[in-house]
Amino acid sequence: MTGTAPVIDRLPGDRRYWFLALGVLLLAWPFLFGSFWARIGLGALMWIGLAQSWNMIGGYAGYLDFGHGAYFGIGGFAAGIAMVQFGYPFVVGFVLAIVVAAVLAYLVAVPTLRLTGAYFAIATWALAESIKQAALILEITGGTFGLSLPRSPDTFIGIAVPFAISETFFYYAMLLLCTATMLVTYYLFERHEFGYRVKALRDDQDAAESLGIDTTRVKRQVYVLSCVVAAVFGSVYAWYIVFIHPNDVLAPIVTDRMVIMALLGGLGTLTGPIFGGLLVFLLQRLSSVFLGSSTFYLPLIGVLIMVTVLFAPSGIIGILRGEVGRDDVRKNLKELGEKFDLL
Amino acid sequence: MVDIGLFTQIVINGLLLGGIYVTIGVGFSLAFGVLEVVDFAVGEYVMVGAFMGAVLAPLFGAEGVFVIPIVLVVFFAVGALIQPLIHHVTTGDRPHPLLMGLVFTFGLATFLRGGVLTVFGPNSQDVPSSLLTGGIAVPGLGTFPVVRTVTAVFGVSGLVVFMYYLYRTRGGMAIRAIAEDRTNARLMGININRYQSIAYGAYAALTGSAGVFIGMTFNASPGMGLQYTAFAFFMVVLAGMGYLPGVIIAGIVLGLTQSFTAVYISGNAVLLVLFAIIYVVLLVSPAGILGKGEWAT
Amino acid sequence: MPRKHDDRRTFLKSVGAAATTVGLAGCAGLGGGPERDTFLLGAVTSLSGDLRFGGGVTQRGYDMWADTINREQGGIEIGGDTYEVEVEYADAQSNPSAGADAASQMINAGADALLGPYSSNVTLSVCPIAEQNSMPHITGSAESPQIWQEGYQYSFGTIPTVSIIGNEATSALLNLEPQPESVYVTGVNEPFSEATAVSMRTAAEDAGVTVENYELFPRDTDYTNVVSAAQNADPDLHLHGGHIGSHVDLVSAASQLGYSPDGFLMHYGVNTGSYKDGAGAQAPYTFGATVWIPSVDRSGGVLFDSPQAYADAAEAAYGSAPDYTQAGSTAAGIVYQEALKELNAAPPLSQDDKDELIGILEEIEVNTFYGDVTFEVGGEYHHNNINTQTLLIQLGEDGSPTIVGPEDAATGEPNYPVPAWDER
Repeated sequence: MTGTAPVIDRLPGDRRYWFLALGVLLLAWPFLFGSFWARIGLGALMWIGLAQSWNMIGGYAGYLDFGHGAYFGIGGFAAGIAMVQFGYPFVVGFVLAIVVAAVLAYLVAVPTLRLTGAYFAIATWALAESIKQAALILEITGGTFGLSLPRSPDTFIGIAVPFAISETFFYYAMLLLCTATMLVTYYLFERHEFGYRVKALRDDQDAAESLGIDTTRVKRQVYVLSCVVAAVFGSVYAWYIVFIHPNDVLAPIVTDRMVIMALLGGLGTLTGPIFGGLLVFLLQRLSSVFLGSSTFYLPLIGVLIMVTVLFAPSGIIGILRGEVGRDDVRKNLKELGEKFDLL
Repeated sequence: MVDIGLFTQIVINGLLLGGIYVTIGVGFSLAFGVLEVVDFAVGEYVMVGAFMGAVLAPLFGAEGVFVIPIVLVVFFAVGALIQPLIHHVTTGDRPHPLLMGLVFTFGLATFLRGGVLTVFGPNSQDVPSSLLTGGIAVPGLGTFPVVRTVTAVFGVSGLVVFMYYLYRTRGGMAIRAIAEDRTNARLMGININRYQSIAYGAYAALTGSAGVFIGMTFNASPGMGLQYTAFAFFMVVLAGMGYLPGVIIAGIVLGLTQSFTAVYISGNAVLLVLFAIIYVVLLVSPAGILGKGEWAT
Repeated sequence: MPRKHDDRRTFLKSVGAAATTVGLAGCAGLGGGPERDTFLLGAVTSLSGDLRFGGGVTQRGYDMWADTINREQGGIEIGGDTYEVEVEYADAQSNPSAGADAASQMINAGADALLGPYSSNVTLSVCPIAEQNSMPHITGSAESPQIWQEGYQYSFGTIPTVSIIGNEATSALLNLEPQPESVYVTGVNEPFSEATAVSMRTAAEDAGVTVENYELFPRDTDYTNVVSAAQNADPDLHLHGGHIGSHVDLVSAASQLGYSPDGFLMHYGVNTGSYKDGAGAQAPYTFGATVWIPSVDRSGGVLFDSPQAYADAAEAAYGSAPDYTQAGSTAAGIVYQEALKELNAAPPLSQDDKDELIGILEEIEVNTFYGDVTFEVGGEYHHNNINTQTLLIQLGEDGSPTIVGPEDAATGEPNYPVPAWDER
C-alpha cells in the first residue's frame, strides 16, 4: 500500500453534489445530446446492469456462471414470443420474461449448483449453448429466421400510449432498470444480512455451513435473482432492437462481455461493474471513432484483461481505492520474475 | 432401413472425427489435470497453428506437413514462457485464483483471435498439402480420407508419448509429483517452474501442431478457435479431468455421437445433442464417463 | 457559516463542469450543421467483426460511386448548380445492435439518406431505424426475403432477394444436358442460407426433379457426415446454401471422401477471391449464382458505360475485381443520384424532400452497368429490385467465372458433368 489516498476520496467538495450533478446529467441526457447519444447511453446503462447481474453470482457468490447470457436471450425471446406469436402487449411479455427466467433458473440451479469451480463454469456454458441450439431449431422462436417485434404505441400496455416508443423511452426504461439493479445490489449484498451469508459462502462454504447458513438455499437465491435481472434487461432490449435472432441475443459473447466488465471493474463490489461496463462498452462501441475501421480493439481488450489479472486483480475499483499502488506492481513484477527461473 | 455401406462409412467418419478431437484433448487434458490450468486459449492455439500452416506451407513447396516441426518448436518455446504468467495469476494471495486463471487465458484467447483477425483479415485460408489428399477406399468398409486418418494417428501417438513421458521418465515423475502436491515437490528439490513450463510447452506444441492438421483437413480462419475450445472442454469432461487414457474413449464417443446424430437424427440437432450430453454427464458423473477423473475444483 | 458557502461554490463548480462536459459532448454528437453544399449520405456497414470482408466490398461499391460522380460530373446537378456527394461511414461491427446505433449516428449527423449495411441480420435492425426517422435507405448488399416481407416504407434494395436468385440459378442449372434427375439440397441454419436452400429446393420441385433430401445444419458441424449421407443418396446435383466458409468445408470433405456428383451449385460468393483461396485445388468447376459479373452483356448507361468499364475502373481503384455485391452497392448510389436529380432539391434535404424522394424511388427506372433497376411496390418483394437477371456461373480451371446460363445470357459452354475429383 502506498500513502496515496483513494481517488474517490480525493474528489473536491462534498460527494453528494457530485452525485446530484451526475443525476441531473443522466436525467437530461437524451434531451441534451439527441437520439444517437441516447442509444449509446442506454446501451451503456444496459451493459452496466448486465455486468452487475453477473457480478451477483460470479463476484459476490463466487460461482463462475459462463452461461449467464442465456437468460438475457431467454428474456428477449419470452417477450418476443408473447408479442409476436400471441399478440400480447409488452408488459405481458415483460412479466412472462421474469416468470420464465425465474422458473428455469430454479430448475437449473437445483442440479447445477452442486458443481463448483471449473465444473460449474463448463456446465453452465454447455447448457447455454444447448439453449441457443434449441432456439435455432424450435418454431416458436422463429428458428433460424428470428423474430421481428412490433413497436406501435398500443404494443406497450395494450392501449395506445400518448408518447412515442422511441430512443428516449428506452433510455429512461434502461435508466430505471439499471438504477433498480444497483439499489437491489446495494441493499441485498452490501447492507442486508443476506450479503454476509453470500460472502461467507464464497469465502468458505464449510465454515459458512458450520455457522448455520443454509448454503444450498442461499446459492439458489442468488442464482435465480441474477438470472432474472439478466432476463429483465433482455426483454426490454428485444423490444428496443426490434429484430432478435438466437445468434445475436444467445451468443456466448453476451456472457463473455458481462464477465470481462465485472472483472475489469472489480469483482464483488457495488461500483466495479459500473466502471468496467462503461469502459468496455465505450471501448467497443466507439472504437471505430478512435481506431478507424480496424479490429485492433480486440487484441487491445485481450491485453487489457491480461494486464489487469496480472497486476490489478481487484480491477479498476482497486486502483481507484488505492489498493494497487506502484509498490504493489513492483512487488508483483518481482514475484513474476522469479517464476521465469526455468533452467 | 439402415444402409450397411452408409452405416460403416458413418462409423469411419465418426472415429476419424474423434481422432481430430483426441489431438486437441490430449494436451488439454494434461494442462487441465496435471497443471490444473483451465485454459480458454486452447482453441486459439489450434487457430494460430493452422495459420502458421497457411502462411509457412507455401515456403516449403506448398506442403503443410513440413511446417509441423517448426510449429512444435515455436509453440513449445512460447508455451514455456506463458506458463509462468499463468502460474503467477493462479497462486499467491489473490482472490478467486481459479477465476483469475480462467480469465487470464480468456484474455490471451481474445488477444490471439483479435491479433490474427487484425493482421490477416477475416477470410479463411487454405493450408495446402499434396501428400495428404484424397481418400483410400477399402472395399466393404468405406473411404478413409488420408488427412483425417493421419491426424488421428498423430493424436493417438501424441497420447502414447505423453503417457510414456509421464509414467516412465524422471521428468514425468517430477510433473506428477507437482500435480500431487506442490509444496512437497518443492521441498524435494524439484524445480517447479521448469517442469510446469515443460508440461505447458508440450501441451502448446501438441495443440499447435494439431492446428496444422486441422487446417489441412478444413482450413484456417480467425474465428475457428472457439469451437475447438468447446471440444477440448468436452473431451476432458467425458474423459474425466486429468485421466489421460480416457481421452481416447471420449474422442470415440464424441465423434460417433456427432456422425450418427447428423445422419440418422438431423444435421440441425448435432450441436444441441453434444452440448446436452456434456451438461448431463457433468451432472450425473462429473468424473467422466469412466468415472476415473479427479473430482477436483 | 463559511463551510456552507464553500460547499455551494463547489457545487456550482461541479454543475459548471458537468454543463461543460455536456456542451462538449453535444458538439461532438451533432456534427454537420444545416448549412451544407454537399449531399451527405450516411453509410452503415460492417467495417469490423466477422462480416468485415463483405462490409469492405460494400464500402468499395459506395465509394466507387461517390468518387466517380464527383470526379466526372462535379457531383449531382440540381437547378443548374452541382453539389458534391459525400459518403460518411458508421461501423455496424457485424452486429445488429451496433448497426442500429450506427444508423442512428448517421441520422443524427444530418445525413440526407442512408446507404445500407452488409448482411441481412444487420439490415433487419437498421430498417426499423430508417422507418422511425422517416429516412430513405437503399441497401446494395442484403438478400434475405424477410427484409421485404416486413413491408418497410423507407427501405429499398438493389440486389434481388435470394429467393429469386437461388431459384433462377437452380432452374438454369437443371436445364443443362444431360438433364439431371435428382438433387440433394443442404444449407446452413442461418436466415440467409436457409432462404437460399429453400429457393433451390422449390426450383427443383417445380422442375419435377427428385429432391433426394433437404437438410440444414449448424455452420460448425463436420461435413463428412453431410457428404456421406449425400453420397449414399447418389444425386445428380448437389445444391448448397451458405456462406463461403461452409462451401469450402463442403468441397474439402467431398474430395476427401470421393463424392462426385455431376455438379455443385453453391450460393453465396463462389466467384470471390475468398472462396478461391479457401477451397484451393477444389475450387474449379463449382457452379454459382450471381446477378452481375464484369463479362455480362448489359447496356450500361448512367455513370459507367458498361460492366467491363466498371470492372476496369474498380480494378484500377482498388486492385481487385468487383463482385455483384460491390456492383449492387454502386448501383444503389446511382439510383440515389438519379432520384435526387428528379427531386431537384438542394441539400440539405428537408423531411418533405425525403418523403417525396420515397415516392420518386417507387417509380424510378434507372439503366445502369449493373442492369435496369426498378423497385417492386407491394407484395412480398416490396421495395426490392427483382428486375436484374440472375446468372448461372461456373468457375474455370483458373478459378475465373464464366456465365453458363440461362441460355440467353450465357457467354460460354458449361463443363458438365464436371470431372470426378481424381480425374482433374
